[in-house]
Amino acid sequence: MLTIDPKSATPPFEQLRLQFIEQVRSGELAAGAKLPTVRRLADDLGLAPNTVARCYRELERDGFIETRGRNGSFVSAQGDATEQQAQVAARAYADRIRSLGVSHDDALAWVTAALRA
Amino acid sequence: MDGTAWFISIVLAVGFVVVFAATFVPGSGRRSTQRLVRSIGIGLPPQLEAEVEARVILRQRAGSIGAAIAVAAAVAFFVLSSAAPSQLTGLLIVGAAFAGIAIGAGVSAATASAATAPGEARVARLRAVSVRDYLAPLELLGARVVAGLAVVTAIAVIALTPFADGDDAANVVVITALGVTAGVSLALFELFSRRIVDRPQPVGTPVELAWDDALRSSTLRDIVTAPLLIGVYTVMYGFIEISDRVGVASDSFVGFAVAAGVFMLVLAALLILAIVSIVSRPQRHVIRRLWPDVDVDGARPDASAGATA
Repeated sequence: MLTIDPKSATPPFEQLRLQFIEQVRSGELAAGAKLPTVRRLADDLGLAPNTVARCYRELERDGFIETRGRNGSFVSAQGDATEQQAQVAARAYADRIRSLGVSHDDALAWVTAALRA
Repeated sequence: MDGTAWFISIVLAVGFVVVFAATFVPGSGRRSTQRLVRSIGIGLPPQLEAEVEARVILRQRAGSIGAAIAVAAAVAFFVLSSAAPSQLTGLLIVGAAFAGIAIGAGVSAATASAATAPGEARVARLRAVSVRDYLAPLELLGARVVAGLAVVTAIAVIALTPFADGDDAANVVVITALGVTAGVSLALFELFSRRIVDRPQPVGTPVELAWDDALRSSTLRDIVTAPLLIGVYTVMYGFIEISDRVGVASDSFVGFAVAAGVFMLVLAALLILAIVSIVSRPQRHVIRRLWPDVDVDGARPDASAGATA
């Protein structure tokens, strides 16, 4: 979840960028997650589209997100090659669990058991 | 139109006028909202009650107006056209009512204005959403598959027209119209669903966002019901007609038995899907999907407690 406070001393662009980076680093935004379009996020947050577009450009330049043509923008895998592969695999597992409608607790229990086996 | 079709039309018209009028009765919006709260499974904070009630009432009014217009249009079609009376005409009028509800709910949701006070803090989710987040797979895929099957069934019924006579020939018109209505309903669903999901969600708190998600999902479920139910009707009654024609065409009991067997299989599959759909509580899919930390199935119906989408 992202919060933009227009009364804050920090400019909206910086609030957006910092919260984005924090969520990617904390894992709340997983690698491979699709981001909303620039216009949609701007409308949701009451920001100018140019502000969001500039933020996306800077995040892409810094390696946090990647743009896949007309498919949109996605969160990039972070860390070294091994960590990136692990994040991609985790994303695939999460997507599959979601499509199966399995609860998060069960999914976590099974992956923990599989790792211990 | 025969007497049964007129009876169904009048009951539906009166019913939708009553539903529309009831939205003006004090307390009706609150009762509808409370039903929604129970079905969705998340708490509704007092400061959001008025807004949610207003949106629920707007959707009910739009749905009942859409249904009344659709029923009137279907009746006018049968009265003004030279279509022969059929025992299935009433079924098409019920199908038209569902399509009307879908169009009314879709138009109201796709054109409703949403605004927050300028200068207030805003929240948004940093993940793109799609129709799959708002509708359970069984409903979404079910509508697409069943509506597609309905169109194929209608084509098969038309192809077997040479073997129809009397009332059977009149049924061809109704089943064809049902197949077309199922296809058009699916097209409208695809159009409305994308427009509704792509609309911005200008909200100030996670709970507001959760409720906006819940209301969107509820509207999409209203819309997807049309292709789903009309498709089921078309497939069921289409297969009855097909089994009759196959029996006549093959002039043997085996042909009839095979067609009847396929019909029973389709009927059993639809029944199983309906039971699975009810048991899986599809109305809570949106919260399970977009608000996974909110315990909708347990005893903690508080969106603000775990809003992390």
